[in-house]
Amino acid sequence: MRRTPELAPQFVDLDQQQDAASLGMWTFLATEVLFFGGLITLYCAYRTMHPDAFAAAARHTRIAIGAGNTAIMLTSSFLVAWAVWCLRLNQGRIAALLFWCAAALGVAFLGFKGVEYAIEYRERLVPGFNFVAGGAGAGAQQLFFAFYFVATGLHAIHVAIGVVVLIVVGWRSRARAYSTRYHAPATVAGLYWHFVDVVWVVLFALIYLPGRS
Amino acid sequence: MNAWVPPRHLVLSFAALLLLLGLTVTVAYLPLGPMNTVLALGIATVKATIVMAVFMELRKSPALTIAFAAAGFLWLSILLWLAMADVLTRG
Amino acid sequence: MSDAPSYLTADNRLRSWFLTTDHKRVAILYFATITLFFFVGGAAATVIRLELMTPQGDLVTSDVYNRMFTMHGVVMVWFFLIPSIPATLGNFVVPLMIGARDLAFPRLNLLSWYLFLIGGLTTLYAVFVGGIDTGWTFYTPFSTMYSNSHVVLAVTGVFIAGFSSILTGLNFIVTIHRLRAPGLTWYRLPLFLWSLYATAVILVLATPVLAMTLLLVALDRFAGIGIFDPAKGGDPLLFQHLFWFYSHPAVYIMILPGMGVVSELISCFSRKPIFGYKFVAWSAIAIAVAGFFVWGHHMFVSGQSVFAGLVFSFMSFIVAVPSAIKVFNWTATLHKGWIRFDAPMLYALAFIGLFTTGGLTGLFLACLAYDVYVTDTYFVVAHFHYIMVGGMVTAYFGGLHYWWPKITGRMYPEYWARAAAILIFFGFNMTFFPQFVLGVLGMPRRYHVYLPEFQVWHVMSSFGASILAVAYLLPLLYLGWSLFFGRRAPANPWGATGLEWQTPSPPPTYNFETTPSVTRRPYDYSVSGQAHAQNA
Repeated sequence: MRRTPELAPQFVDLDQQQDAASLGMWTFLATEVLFFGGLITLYCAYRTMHPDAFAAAARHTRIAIGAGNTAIMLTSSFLVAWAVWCLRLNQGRIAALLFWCAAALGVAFLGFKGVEYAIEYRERLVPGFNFVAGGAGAGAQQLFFAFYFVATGLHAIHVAIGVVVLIVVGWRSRARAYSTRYHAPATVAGLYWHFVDVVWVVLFALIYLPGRS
Repeated sequence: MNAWVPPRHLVLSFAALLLLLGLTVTVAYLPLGPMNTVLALGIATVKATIVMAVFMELRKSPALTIAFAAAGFLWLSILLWLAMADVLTRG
Repeated sequence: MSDAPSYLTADNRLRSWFLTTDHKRVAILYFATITLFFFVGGAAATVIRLELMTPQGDLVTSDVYNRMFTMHGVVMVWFFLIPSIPATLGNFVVPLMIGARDLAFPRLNLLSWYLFLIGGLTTLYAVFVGGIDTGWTFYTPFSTMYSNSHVVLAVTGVFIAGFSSILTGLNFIVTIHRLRAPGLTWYRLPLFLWSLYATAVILVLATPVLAMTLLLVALDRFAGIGIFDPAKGGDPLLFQHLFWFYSHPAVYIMILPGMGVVSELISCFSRKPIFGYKFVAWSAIAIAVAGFFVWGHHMFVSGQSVFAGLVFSFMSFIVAVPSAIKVFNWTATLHKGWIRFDAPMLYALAFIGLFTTGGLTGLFLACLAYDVYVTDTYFVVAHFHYIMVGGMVTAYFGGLHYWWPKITGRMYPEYWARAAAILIFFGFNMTFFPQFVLGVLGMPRRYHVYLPEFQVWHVMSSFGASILAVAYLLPLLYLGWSLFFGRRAPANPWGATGLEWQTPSPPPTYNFETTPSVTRRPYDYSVSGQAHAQNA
């Protein structure tokens, strides 16, 4: 069997290599589930212990920005899925454009997040810096916001990394590094990006929706 | 096949996701008591499942891949179940 | 046999070692680093045992003593035991045993070593600038709000090293699933691989929760966000749940690889297939899975609910069953075997006895009522040292001796090795058996001032520790000697089955001339006297 340059020496053929890459990424994503999951466990426990405080605290979040950001993430995920489909049709240039649009949406997400953080800082909702909450269960409201900043902050770091990855993948797509036969790095990058989207979908439900009714 | 036209399954999934987003935000404002939480998490689960099944192509993946994908969630459920069992049963 | 240079001599430039992607060289890098950390942890242990010779706190202050046992725990757990067998013997042997040229992701393998090194150096730096006094368990709110020590630095080091663990686990899982040689089905895999697979599953699923937990401790301490602060409604018990969700499965990371090694040794040195292969294989998986359901047995007296205590106690009894199954099967393997008492076998036999002792005392601790009596006493200390040192470290030495000829191309001096193994066994028991007695008598752990009636047992234990220290130094000396003067080793000095013995000692960089294919069952010692080639 002819060994092409993309084929690493420890693999017998490209199929084995791409399959291994996919399994490797899913394994990594499992670790991410547990990483964020630990934080979510904390949230579940504290919300159960302090339901009213958590509802009150959640009302301080900006649902418009949150929902807008969710729409942005979902759109970028759609674009990435479309881009990978393009690569399967050997359409590297179209895929590149789609990857870059998705990356741009990721940057927009971070921009809106930054605006949101600025608002929360102004409203004195940042634990450890200037947290002042009114009403019952002020202490537990701080717990909500501690969770909020840690969870969305970590998520934002993952988005930032994803943006860089998408830019690189887009660039390589344009440079015809991928083909119908070989595009595992792009698929695997896509898996990462979609997962970041999944995390956000869950965080959105936990952060922005409680206490609205 | 024109690459400028996205495939149907992706477009339909994307539309469904946006619809569910609208739904979950709307429902959050309705006074449904404990059902608010159930629905919020339920809709989030459906959205996550669509992303994983369609965008991440789990519905076309071999069983081993699906097992790997499920493993993280399964193990998280162990953490959640037993930790919450403690929280919920403390005197 | 080709004239290709071995992996050791293939390239002598420093950069070829520090930028290597060869799993065998990465294993050597890990060997060197974990040995260094073993001595750091051992130094702390020396201070502890010296201090405990007398009932008064006369050698060190309480504050320094706290830092000593914390350093001992942190370094030994995260920078010696967790990586030990997987990152050294595992990295070296897994691709060979599987008939592959390398692991699935060689560059991630190198990255894992660098992360380990950076994490380790960060923690060492924390120790150097004063250390930490929280215990290796970092309980809140002491660690987040009251401790005056370098907590953030130390948890950062462990956090970084955690990613090293995850990468190793990820690599092993994908490698074992996808890089097996033709004909090497799961039920033809050596049991070392089943154990490492189970270990890898734990590494991948448990470590991220530790990462989150330590991150929160650091943030709480650094920014005062108050996540575990009771005044803000925070719950220190939640820290414990998150911490032990990782740290209990972590102890299975610290025994499963040892069990895998023991399966190889018992089989080879009885010249018999392992009795009940499938039971031993699946028991490793069972331990890995069931081990995730028992963490609350570290929290019986912490204030968790009685219901939770009951569930965790019950599950802790369940998790002992697969371990017992392994012990029964190893023993059955010995029956009517053609037994040789080479050093690796001495270590394997020691493992069975010491691990069983440790494991049985674990059942004592799983019992809610009894645990209330002995929790936080030396009974617990003795229990886990019997398993981690008497079990895992013993197995590590056994595996080290067994695969030494393959790794270095040299034979070690057999009589010195047997003497050291026997001395380790005596020194170990002399050190830790008295601690069971101390625990039942009421000696608390982490105390350096104690009642005078405990002194005789502490003196016995410290005396044993001094023997153990010498005994652990011996292999360093004669193994080091063997590197230069040891007899050159053949490809298969033990006449063992397994693909790793079908390649020269030491192997060439690419492992195998041609990819082997496997047709026989594992441990097929049916042909008496000689092991035969696995190639069809």
